[in-house]
Amino acid sequence: MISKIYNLWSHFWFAPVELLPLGILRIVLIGYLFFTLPERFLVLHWSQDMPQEFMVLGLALRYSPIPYPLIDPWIEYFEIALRILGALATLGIFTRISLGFFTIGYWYLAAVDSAWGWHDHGPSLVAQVLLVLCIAPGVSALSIDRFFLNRSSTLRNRLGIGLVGKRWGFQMIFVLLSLFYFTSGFSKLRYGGVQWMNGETLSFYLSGKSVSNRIQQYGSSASVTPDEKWRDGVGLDHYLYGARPSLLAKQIADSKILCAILAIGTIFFEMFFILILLGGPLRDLLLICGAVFHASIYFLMGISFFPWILIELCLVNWCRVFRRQPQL
Amino acid sequence: MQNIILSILTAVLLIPNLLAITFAIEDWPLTPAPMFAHYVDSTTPRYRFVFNGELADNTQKSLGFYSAGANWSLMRYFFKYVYGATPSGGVFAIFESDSADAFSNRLGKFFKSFSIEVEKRETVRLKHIELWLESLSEDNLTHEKKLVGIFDCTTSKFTKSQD
Repeated sequence: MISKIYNLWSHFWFAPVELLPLGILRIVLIGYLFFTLPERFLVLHWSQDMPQEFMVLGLALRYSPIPYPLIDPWIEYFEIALRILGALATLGIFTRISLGFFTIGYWYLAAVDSAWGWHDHGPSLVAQVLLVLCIAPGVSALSIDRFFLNRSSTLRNRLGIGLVGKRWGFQMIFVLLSLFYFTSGFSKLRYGGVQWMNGETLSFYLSGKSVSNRIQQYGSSASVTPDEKWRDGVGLDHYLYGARPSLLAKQIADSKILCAILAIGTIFFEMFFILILLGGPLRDLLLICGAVFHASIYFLMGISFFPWILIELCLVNWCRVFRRQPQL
Repeated sequence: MQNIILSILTAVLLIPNLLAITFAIEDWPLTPAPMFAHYVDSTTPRYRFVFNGELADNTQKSLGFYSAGANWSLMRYFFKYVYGATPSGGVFAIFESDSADAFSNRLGKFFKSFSIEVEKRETVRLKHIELWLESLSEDNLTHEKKLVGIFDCTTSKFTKSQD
């Protein structure tokens, strides 16, 4: 029995797999993050301008090797260094070293963005995926490092095409994705209750009523007891999130049935995304659905999870999807 | 070697994520993902805060969230880390045993920094700042308003209004 469990465990983490997708993910993900660095540095500059008493330094900033706040001219040096590291990591020059330092810098920027009293949920997953990529086998596929260091006579080998290795890097990313999806679905039931599935909350956000002249709104719930209303007679228990719904979203918001179907579908999809860990065609289907799910969030609510879409699409086994002979 | 790396990743990534989900801890990058999770419908009461300043020349000035140079997430900071949510707020409720005195102290500290920043940026002299909570109609217009308290810029004290 124990040996069976051990075998299953070993197979789950260490079964052989073609590693090329991690090299592709490195290029695509770091390449994208590289082009979004100006936005991150804009936030860093804003943060320097605001009273530092209003900053809540979380775990990531408190233990960051980069001090906060940065003083001039170090911000400028940091920006230049991170741009160079991003370019090196994308191209695959000193791949692991440049990727490692880029990851430290990206964690720092995203942590600053989340130290204003809100939480930047998109980069939460991305930052952790970067950490996995730093040490996962196969990340140097399609790198300049590999091209020059590999003595093989074939171009395929020198690029890392067909490179096979242990799959724990993939699996770790799948586990992280599962956790993020699961908790998103679980939180809706935890805080909103089963009634979240009636579609009213989705309809409210799709209608755009949570955003009014960029004024932050707050809500209370029926579970607030009279004793808990001592601050203001109301008992606020959450803030509302902002969305920039499209015209299509506003039309969907008017259909109660469609909103209920989408709400139920969202919770089921998020909570059962964990089935991705079973592998096989189901994994590909869930990854593609995840990409479609986040693309629809962008088109309907104006919230970008583009790096998530990239991660999901890079990890789909496209050979299997198009019924070509898979490598493994 | 691979087992060691896997153990380290599990300890550094997976266990903290599981703890954050289980105990509803939000500390970037850990999160139980509470976005859009609280139930809201078109009839749910919604509110907004208004900071109303009185200047030294007795004129009134509405102090927006941007007054301190920050973007609108300042109001999320204000709610979570200064004002405080009721326990049903989950990740937003970080003051387990809150009291009226602790509440006034936190708001006093916040408005002290806020007023200094406003005076610096807008070259004005503030006498006091009123904190109002406004309920919103379905069309996002002010429905009712209630004075939560007043910050005296001279004494740097926040006094909660009596119910």
